[in-house]
Amino acid sequence: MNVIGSLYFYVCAAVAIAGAIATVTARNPIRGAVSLLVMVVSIAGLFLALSAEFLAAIQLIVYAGAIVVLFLFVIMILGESSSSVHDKKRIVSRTLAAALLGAVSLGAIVLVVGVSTPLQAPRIRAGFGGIDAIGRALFSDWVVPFELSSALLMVAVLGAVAIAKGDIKRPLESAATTPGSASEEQP
Amino acid sequence: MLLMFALSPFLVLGGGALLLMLAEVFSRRPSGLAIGTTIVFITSGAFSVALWLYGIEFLPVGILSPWILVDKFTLFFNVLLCLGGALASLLAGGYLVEYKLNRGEFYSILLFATFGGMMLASAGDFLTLFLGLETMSLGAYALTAFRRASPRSAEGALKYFLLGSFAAAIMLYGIALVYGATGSTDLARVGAAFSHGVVTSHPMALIGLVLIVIGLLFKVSAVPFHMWTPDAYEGAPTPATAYMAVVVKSAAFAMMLRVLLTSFGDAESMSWSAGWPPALAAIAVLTMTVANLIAGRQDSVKRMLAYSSIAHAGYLLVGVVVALRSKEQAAAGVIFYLATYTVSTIGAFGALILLGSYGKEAVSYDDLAGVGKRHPAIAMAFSLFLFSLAGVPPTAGFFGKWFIFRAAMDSGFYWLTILAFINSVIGAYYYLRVLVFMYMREPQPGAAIAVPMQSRHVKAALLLSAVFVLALGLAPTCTLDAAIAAATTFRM
Amino acid sequence: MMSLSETIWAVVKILIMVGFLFNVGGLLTWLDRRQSAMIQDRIGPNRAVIKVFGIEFRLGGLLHPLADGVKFFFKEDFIPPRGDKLLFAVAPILVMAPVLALIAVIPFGDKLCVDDLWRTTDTGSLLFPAVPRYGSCLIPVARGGIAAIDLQVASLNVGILYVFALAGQGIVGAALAGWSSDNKFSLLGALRAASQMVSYEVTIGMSLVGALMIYGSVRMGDMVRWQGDHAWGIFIQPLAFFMFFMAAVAESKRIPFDLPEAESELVSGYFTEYSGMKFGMFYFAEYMEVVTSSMLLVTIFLGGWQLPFLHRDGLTIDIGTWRALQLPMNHLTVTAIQVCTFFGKVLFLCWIQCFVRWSLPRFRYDQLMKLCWRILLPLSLANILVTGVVYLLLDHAGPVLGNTLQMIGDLTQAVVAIAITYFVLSIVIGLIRPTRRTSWVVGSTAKLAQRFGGTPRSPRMQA
Repeated sequence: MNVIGSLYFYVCAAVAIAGAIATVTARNPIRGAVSLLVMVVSIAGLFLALSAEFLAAIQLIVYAGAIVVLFLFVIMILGESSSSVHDKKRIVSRTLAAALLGAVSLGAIVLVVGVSTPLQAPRIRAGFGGIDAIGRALFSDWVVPFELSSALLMVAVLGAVAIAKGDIKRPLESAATTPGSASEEQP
Repeated sequence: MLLMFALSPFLVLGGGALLLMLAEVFSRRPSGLAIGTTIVFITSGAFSVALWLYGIEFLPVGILSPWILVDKFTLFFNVLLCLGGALASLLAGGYLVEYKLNRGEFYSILLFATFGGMMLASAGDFLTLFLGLETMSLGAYALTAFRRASPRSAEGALKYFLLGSFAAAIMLYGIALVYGATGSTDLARVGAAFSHGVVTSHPMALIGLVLIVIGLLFKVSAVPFHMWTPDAYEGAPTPATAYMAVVVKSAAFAMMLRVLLTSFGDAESMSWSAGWPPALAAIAVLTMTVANLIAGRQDSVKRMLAYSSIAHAGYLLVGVVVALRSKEQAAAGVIFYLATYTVSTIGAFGALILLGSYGKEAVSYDDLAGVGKRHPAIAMAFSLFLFSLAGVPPTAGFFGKWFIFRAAMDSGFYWLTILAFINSVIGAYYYLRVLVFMYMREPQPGAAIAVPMQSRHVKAALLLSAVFVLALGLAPTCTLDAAIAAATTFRM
Repeated sequence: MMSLSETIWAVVKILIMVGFLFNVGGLLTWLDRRQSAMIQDRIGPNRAVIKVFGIEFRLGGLLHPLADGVKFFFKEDFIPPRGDKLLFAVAPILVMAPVLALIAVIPFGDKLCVDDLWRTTDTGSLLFPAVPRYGSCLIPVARGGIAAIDLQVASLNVGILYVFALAGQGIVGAALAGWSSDNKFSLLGALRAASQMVSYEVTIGMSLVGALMIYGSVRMGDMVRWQGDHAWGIFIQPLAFFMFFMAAVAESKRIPFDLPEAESELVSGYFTEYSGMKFGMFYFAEYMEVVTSSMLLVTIFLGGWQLPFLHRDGLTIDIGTWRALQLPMNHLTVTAIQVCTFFGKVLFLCWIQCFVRWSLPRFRYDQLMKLCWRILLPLSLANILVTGVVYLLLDHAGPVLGNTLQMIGDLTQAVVAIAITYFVLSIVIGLIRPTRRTSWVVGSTAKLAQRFGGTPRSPRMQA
């Protein structure tokens, strides 16, 4: 990789990591969503560097254009109530657990990177990752999983419709509430 | 054409679901949907049987390999899943009408989720495996949230959805690591890479293996990953609960067997010193014990059945651990156990459904007091299913447990067998407690009494389940032979 | 690395496109006002004046956009005190930037052979060579020539997907603008904008699939070339054209789809709190969106830079196998005509969009959503199915049908050519024909008032 190529990679990677950290640490959910957008866009940049143009475009269309917008939408509808909750419950144990998990993951990564023999990436053909190549692959070698994924989409749509169509007005089980459910957690 | 035939169980299910969706739009009688769904399930199952009889070795492999493997293991599970689905849709036919939830999407989701389950059982590649898993899981999430008016339903569905998505993500990460190490998502090729010692050159394969196993354990709701189960099972409409306890769990175990025995089935990964069996054995013990102990303390029968299904996952995991010594025996035991578990669990939930009606649900033990005298037929059926779940001869459950325990003994896992046996004794306590309430208690004066619903659909489902429970208990040979034949898929 | 000449050409292409976008975007604000005045039967912008030696220059109101710009720069830049200041500042950029970046993939001319534009002969005189219709330039790269350059800022592999990817980013800007303003009207406007744009983006994408199937490419340049060889997209995918047109208007949030900024309901929607140049960016981005959507429409459905029968090697009129006329032309002329054609078509569509804006009433919000999800989306899906089936059938039909189709395609070109000629002629005639200069009033209402001896005419009135 030449100098500009590596520089591009490092810039994109740094921005992606910064965006990810900001997403997690942002107190304001909208800021979090915007940080997520930053991360998504820089990952699309990384895809471009891998000459996966189609993936980069899809990343932008689906994640930046639809999913982040959906997040924004939900946060905006929920309004202020969603933006100022600071859960301090068991903060110490949670932090400790997160630190432990992070340390273990980091250790695992270091171990793996240290011990592994480097993988030889195959040389890519011209047009790799373009829309033609992806389309050809999807409809020849990978046609079975591609078609099967329609069942996944179908069931997702159906599920959304089934839940959305439900009547929320009629109380169904007024008397039969057992302890240990959601009612306790209300402040 | 033969390819179409090979795919026919899938095609029937998918096409039937689409047709039912159309029918729901244009029909005036939504109650016919349950029958239609049952017919679709039965047709799909019949095609699987036809394929079995035709002989899988005559089927073309073509473009299906390695995505969808049509072998005897797949076909057995296809029949089992379709049976579970058919019974669940019959239950739904009564339940949804009674509780005024009769929206046609339920049946289409049921069909598509089963489609996902069949994909899962037949997947020969991590890609289709994951697709199937998500198809099934999304359907199950939607079914759990189906009672929109109930906060409990929403709570259960949300927990299930969030934890399930996490588990799927963890598993996907594991798959990605394994793919990175082995360069393939094909289960068989991953297995080959593992037996050639990919773990030593690329340790990330090991991390991938761990993550995949965690994802698998979550889907079968084994004990440290079971938190979602009671809430999801309790919040869901009861037919959906039965469906999840039966079909989702069976498909998850099919996936587990296939992945563990094909991809991670090399000598190194399956060894007691360096592989997954000891971890799985520990989790099996934990699952059985914890679930049984908690199940005994429940007030709600539905919740008790939920914990009991976790406990059964523990027994099944014992069966999986046996693979250490003999893959075939392990697979056969698990498959047969799943068959017996399917009919008994569906029956138990069905009896619970039949005992209640709108506003007068049978939920707690107290609701069941005196049912034995008021409604002897239902109570008897319920008792039969509970006996089967407890593993009392001559019901189906007895032979299920028998084969797994015997396989464990044969493989030298005496301590595991003993622990499992102790656990089934604990389990018998809370199953019998239901009988005590049904036959030996009288309802408190002035307390609400559960009134059975009138539904031919549910009755038919109960009758069918009872027939299967008795048939599997009295004459298990035929099914057992089929299970053993299905297990030959893993002969190496 | 790029050579020097390539860099220069890239800069030139960017300058052409951005310059066109900015200028036309600015002019559209003027056109919009003139158009509305004409349609509403009133006098348009006529107050901005430059006075030189006592002579007032009005230039038909063209000075108004200039005055607007000056106002934007000098107005107070108000930031809501309780809003999110960072996001408030970022939002206009997020709205503006995608529109600017979008024009990168739009081709405004055919491949240009730089060496073949002109050449000096040995005797020192200039020579304008012609290039063949297909194939490469006269001097190939191997013999020291410069490779043909695309008249397109960036010829991307993913082509149209790049457009979709960018179009999605504008939504985030609108949503953030509304949220960070700390104003209920803004928030409502943002919610409306986000849901409307997300919904219509689906239609935009789906309506194009049929056209993409026929063109067999997602590269804009290939699409235009296909249309030149066969027939314009509007004749092949008429339904898709209208759906795309509608959805594009909805995407730019203009009347009749301007609910996110409906003045009568939401003050001015998600940019209520904006002032100064930040407001200017929203305002200007809207007009630039009109230009870019016109460019997309022209490229995908109206043959891009193609003029009927004008090919790379000159004017050739073919109807089926019958050659009516052949007139070779040199490369420089052809390229110049084609580039002008492209921009002319874009201007025409911009004018249509302005016309639509002042002709139609606003939708209600539920109607808007119904139109998208219940009419346009199913129609676009049906369009894909029908296109696929017909394409399959034609693929299996014999060569006779293919020739017939080619003939029909040529006829459509002829029709377009006649229409363009008529249009141009009537404009020219309209400009040349002497008009009565005595009356300053154009509107019928004013005429009516005059007939009844009502209002006294102001001598400064201009139409």
